[in-house]
Amino acid sequence: MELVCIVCPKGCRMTVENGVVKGNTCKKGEAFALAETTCPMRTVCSTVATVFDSMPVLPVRTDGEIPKAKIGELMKAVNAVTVTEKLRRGDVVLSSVAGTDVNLIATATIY
Amino acid sequence: MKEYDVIVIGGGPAGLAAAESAHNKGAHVAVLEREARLGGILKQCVHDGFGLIRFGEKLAGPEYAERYIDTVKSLDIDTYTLTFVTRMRRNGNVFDIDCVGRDGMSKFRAKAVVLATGCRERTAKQVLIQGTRPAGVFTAGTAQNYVNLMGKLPAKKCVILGSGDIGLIMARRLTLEGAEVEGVYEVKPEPSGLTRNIHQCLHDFDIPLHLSHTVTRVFGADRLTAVEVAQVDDKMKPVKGTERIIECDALILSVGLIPENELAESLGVKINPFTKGPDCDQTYMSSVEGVFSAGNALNVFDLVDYVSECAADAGAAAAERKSSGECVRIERGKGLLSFVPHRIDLAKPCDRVVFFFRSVKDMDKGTLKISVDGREMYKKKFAFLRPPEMQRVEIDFSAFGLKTDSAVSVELEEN
Repeated sequence: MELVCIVCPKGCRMTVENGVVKGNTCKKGEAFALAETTCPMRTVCSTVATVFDSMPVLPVRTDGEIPKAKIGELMKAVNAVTVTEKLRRGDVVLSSVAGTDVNLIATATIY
Repeated sequence: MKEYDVIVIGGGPAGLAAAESAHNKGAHVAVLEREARLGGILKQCVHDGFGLIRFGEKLAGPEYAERYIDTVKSLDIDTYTLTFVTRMRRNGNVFDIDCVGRDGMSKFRAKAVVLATGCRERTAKQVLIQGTRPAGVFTAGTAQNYVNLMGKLPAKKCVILGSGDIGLIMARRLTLEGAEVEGVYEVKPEPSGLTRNIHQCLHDFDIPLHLSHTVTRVFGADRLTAVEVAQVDDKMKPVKGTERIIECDALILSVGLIPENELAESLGVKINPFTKGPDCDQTYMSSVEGVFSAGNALNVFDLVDYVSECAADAGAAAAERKSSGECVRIERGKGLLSFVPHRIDLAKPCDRVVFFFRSVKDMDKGTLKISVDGREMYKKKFAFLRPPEMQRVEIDFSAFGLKTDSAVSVELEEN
C-alpha cells in the first residue's frame, strides 16, 4: 500500500508491504502507516453550538485519535451539543466519545 | 498622542509573536488590531496541525492563538482592539500613525513599526469567471468564517475551485457539517495545497479532485443555481466539448493568497515581485528604515510555526533597531519560485540567517546552491520539493566573505 503521512507537514511518502514500512523518516510515521493498514485513526476538529451571542459556536477537537470509521457517529454527538457554561480552552465538552476513551475538548475560551 | 518604541500593526499570530519578542528586548510595545479580538485568522482555523514545530503538539488554530494571547496579556504590552489604522507617515526618525476606533480618532507615534497585516484571498473578480453575479460565490475564508465563527452553513451542495489549503480544509469541514462537496477543481496540473491535506481532507471523505479543470461560468439570478466546469489544455485554456454543468448553491474559491501591504506601500516600502511582500534584509527590515514586516504580510507561509518564528525575529530587530549598512542583494537563480530574505545587510549579524524558499516546480531531489562572485560557497540537498511546501534552512552568510560589491546568487538545481 502506498500512502502519504499526515502526522506532520513534511508529508513523507511511504509504502507498507507485509507490515514493513518504508519511506518514513520518523517513528510516528511508521506507527501511522501501520495503523492505516489496519484501523485508520483521526483527530477530529469541529465546533459546537453555544447559548452565547458573542460566540455562537465554540471550536472543539478530540483529545486523541478515534477510528476513522467512527467520525460520522462522533459528528452526530457533536451536533447535538449546546454549551451553556463559559468553558475555557482545554475543558471537556463531551467525555468518552463514540465508544472510545477519547474526550471532546474546547480549543478556545468563551469570552 | 500615545508614544511607543515599537508599534505592531495586526494582532494575529505574526503580530503577537513580534510584540512578545520586542517586549522581551526591552521595548515599550503596542499592538493595533482592527477586529474585536486578538488572534487573527487563527480564530476561524478550527482544524488541527498548528504548533508541531513551535510547541511539539498538534493544536487547533484557536488554541495556538490563545497561547500567544495569554503570553502577550501577561506582559506589559498594550493591545488596542477595534482600532483601524487609517494613515501612517514617516516623521523624521519616528512614525506617526492615525487610527479610528469606537472612541473616534486616536494618534500613535513609534520609533519602529512591525507590519503584521497578514494576507487577503484572491476573489472571483480576480480569476475572471464569466456569468451572472448571484449570491453564493464565496472565498474559502469567508465560508470558513460562516461555519466556524458564526455557526452558519453557507452551502447545501457546493463546488470548490482551486486546491489551496483553505479550500481543502473547507471541503472536509463542509462535508462534516452535512453539506455535499461535489468536487474540487484545480486549473493547474498539480494540486496547490499540502500533500497531507489532499489526503486527510479529500481522500478520507471520497471528495474527487479534478486537476487541469476550471469553472468557466456561473448561473443564477439571486442565488447561484449551477456552475459550468471544463477541462483546460496546457495553456490553461478551456477545451471545447468538455463543458459540464453542475447544479449547486455555492461556489467556493481557494485560488491564492496575496500579502496585504497597502500601509507598507503608503510608506514607500519596496515590494518584491515574487513574494509580493516587502523586499527585506535578514532582520525583516523593509526598504524603509525602521519599518519591519512579518508573517503573511511579508511572504505567504504554509505553517503558522514559521510565521511566529519570522515575526519573533522581526519584533526583536524592531526593538533593537541596529543601524543599517551596505546591503548585498541575493539574486534569484533558476529553480526558485520565491525566497526571503532578499538582501543581506553587512552591518547586521548574518551568521544565522533563516532562509525560507519555495521551488518553482516539483523536484524529488534538489540542491540549494549559493554562489558569490561565481564561486560556489554553499550547497545543501533537499528531498520532495514542491511549490506549495515552503522550505526552511539556516545559512551562515558570514562565512562567505561578503563585500559590498559581491554578486550573490542562489539557485535550486534538480538532481
